[in-house]
Amino acid sequence: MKPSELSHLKVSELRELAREQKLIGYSQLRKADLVDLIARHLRREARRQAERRRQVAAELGRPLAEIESVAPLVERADTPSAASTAAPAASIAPAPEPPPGEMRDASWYPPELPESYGEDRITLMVRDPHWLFCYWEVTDILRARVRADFSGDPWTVLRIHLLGDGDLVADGWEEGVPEGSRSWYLHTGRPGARFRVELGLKDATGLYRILVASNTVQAPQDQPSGRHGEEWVGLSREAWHRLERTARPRPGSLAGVEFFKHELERMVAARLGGSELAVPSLPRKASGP
Amino acid sequence: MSSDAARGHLALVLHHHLPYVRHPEYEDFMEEDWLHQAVVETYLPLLKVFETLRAEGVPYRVTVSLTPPLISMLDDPLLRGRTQRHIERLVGLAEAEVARTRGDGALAPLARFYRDHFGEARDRYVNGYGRDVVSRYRDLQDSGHLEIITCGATHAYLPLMNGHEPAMRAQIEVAVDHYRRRMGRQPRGIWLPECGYEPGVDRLLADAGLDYFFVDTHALVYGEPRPHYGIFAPVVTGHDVAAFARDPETSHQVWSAEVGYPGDPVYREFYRDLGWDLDLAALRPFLGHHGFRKSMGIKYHRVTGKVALHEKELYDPAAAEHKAAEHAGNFLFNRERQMEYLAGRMDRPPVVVAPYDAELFGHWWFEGPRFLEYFLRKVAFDTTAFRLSTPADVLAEQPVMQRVTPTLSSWGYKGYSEFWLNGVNDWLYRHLHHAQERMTRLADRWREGCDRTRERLLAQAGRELLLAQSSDWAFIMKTGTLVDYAVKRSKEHIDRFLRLAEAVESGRHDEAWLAEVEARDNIFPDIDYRVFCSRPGDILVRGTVQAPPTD
Repeated sequence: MKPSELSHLKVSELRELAREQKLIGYSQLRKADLVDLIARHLRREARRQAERRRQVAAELGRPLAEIESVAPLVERADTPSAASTAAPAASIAPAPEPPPGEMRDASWYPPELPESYGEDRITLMVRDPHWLFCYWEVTDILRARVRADFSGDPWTVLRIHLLGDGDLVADGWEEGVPEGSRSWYLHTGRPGARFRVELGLKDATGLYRILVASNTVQAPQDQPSGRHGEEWVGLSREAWHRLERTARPRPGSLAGVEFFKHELERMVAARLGGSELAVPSLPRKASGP
Repeated sequence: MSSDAARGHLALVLHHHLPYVRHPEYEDFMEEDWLHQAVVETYLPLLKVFETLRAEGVPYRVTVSLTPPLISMLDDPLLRGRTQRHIERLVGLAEAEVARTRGDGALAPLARFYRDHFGEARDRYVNGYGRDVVSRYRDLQDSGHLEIITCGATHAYLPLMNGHEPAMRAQIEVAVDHYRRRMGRQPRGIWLPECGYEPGVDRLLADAGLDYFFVDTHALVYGEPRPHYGIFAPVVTGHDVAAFARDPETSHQVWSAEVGYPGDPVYREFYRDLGWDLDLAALRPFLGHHGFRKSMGIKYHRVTGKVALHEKELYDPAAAEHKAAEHAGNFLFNRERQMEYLAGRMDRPPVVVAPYDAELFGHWWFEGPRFLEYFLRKVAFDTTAFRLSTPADVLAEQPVMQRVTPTLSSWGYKGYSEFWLNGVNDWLYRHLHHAQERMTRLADRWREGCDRTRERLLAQAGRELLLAQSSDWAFIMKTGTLVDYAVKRSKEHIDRFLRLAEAVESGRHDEAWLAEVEARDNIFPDIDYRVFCSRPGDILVRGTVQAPPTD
């Protein structure tokens, strides 16, 4: 796809392309802006690839023309060196190796998975404090039944519910999703909040009918809590007894539960007068009586 | 209290993990090299450090996580044979290099260095250890030097499991059971895969008898309520499990591009490898049957600086060794200052948690094990500012903790779930969620037991589900190298699960196919499918609670 050909595409196709290219922030764009966004991205990608080929050619001291054919080295040049590993790295995959091209006989290729499982569901997931993700599937039967309530042509919308006390809907908004889409990223900008979403149909008169409703999720916080309330507790009695058996021996110190009580008292003494202190007796395990 | 009790704690944690890769259907399989390389470059060198220090009576305490897939691969007879073959090929290549470089004043000593290095690795792996690496780790735990903890059964990233408690519990309980069988005791703690935590996971950990886990820094910093000691004291969660948070400063110093040690110019360069430099004809006898170029682990060059690969200068092992000792001294110095600073502001000994991927040491950072050995020696003899402790040691000494709920988090890119949930891998979750729910429905239906064939089908369905859940597949898809392999593995395990589930439901199965799949995906031979059963009060989908089963 060349940037110049983008304007021939439909909005839904452009959105699909944007999604494939892992672009963000395109869901609300009009066609002209969408074309612009994707075109800029494609040009950037082309430049990046050309630059990478030049780099590899320079490193190997070989002519640029040869470089198209050494795909594994192109991959390698793109991976960070051990020295530039960013912190914090997640699990470090071992040395990147090129896939063994000729080993791929017919049995190498994986099976195709089902498009859907014949369920009516929408599942809401948390990506980070500001973004959610949902995927859905709706059976033809359900869609037809809901569709029957409309006289005109309804479109598909997501209703995002921000939940307040008792998980009652406190606020929310709506996003249109392209026909045929089956998943969507939602920018919420509300760390710590609880959400539920619905997928439904809507038409120009404002008529709305729900197709499926999601589970509830809570976005994580992205800043320290304002609450300082301090409750100090110890490990459970079972945990303490396990510790006695395996932890490093403490020369000359109190034994086991005695030591635990002593520590608890010491902590209480140290903290009294300051924070709101709640010192329970030895806590029970969640599964306990 | 003794003066010892006033000193701070440094908890070094080395997370050992590789995804389960085992392909008996091929004579040689490229991705199996991950295991062989890790054995040669990381696990054998680390064990050498630990065993040397123990033999010399140098005290130390280090926490090590060994994931069930890694333990299973290290114990697998087929893979053990292939690891040995891998090392023997390296010895062969190194010997050929000694012959090739004879007379070359610069390269010949390096070639001899690798010949001795791999020769020693072969001797230790085959003769010293009888190809059994896991038992050496276990032995170091039994002698009081290591504390070995467990992990998710297949390293599943828990926060993206849609809060489905039976599936999350299976990840934890299968791992704990596996640990018990292999290590001969109950694990005390767990390394949550990718440090992935969400509130509620702690209940499952408590149910499995685990006393502690690790989270990333912001899990506590953004925890509820605000933790009194920040990340320098463990907290206890709502379900009475202790949480230890990663110290970013300590991690940074080893990982970071700007100030991290591994990027030093004298250290060995990872990317310049003989496997890409040598004539293919000369390499071929030492490659697999497929005959493709690959990294061999013979690397003659050093980092040098920000120059192209062909401009790298030759490696000098003695200079690198010297630098590793220097860096260990620097690391010790920085920890002392950090501990002094913290101790002046706390009314209890500070706890600094420093977790790393074990494969950083040796595989990526060739000199890492040497650095570690120098550091452990220095802590034992040269400092009074802190001591090395495991989380169990800390809990025994500081049993009273603040109650805090950590926030959802991971140690991945940006600190949450984005690396495992983005445009290249988000398609996975509709399949994984369907499979986990279906597995629990089937396990519940045959909760009271079933005939032998159905039992086998259910057990294998459980294995396929677990293998599909590995966070490694989504991770690899995002890193962009070997995407095909990760996609293939995900699809194959899900597809096999679906076929097995259908067979369970219909009561019809293909015996030859079942036997083949059992032989291929043979992880967890003793799994009981009932580990996937729901229990009263379980959350099956976030926001809903399961009624107690009616039976």
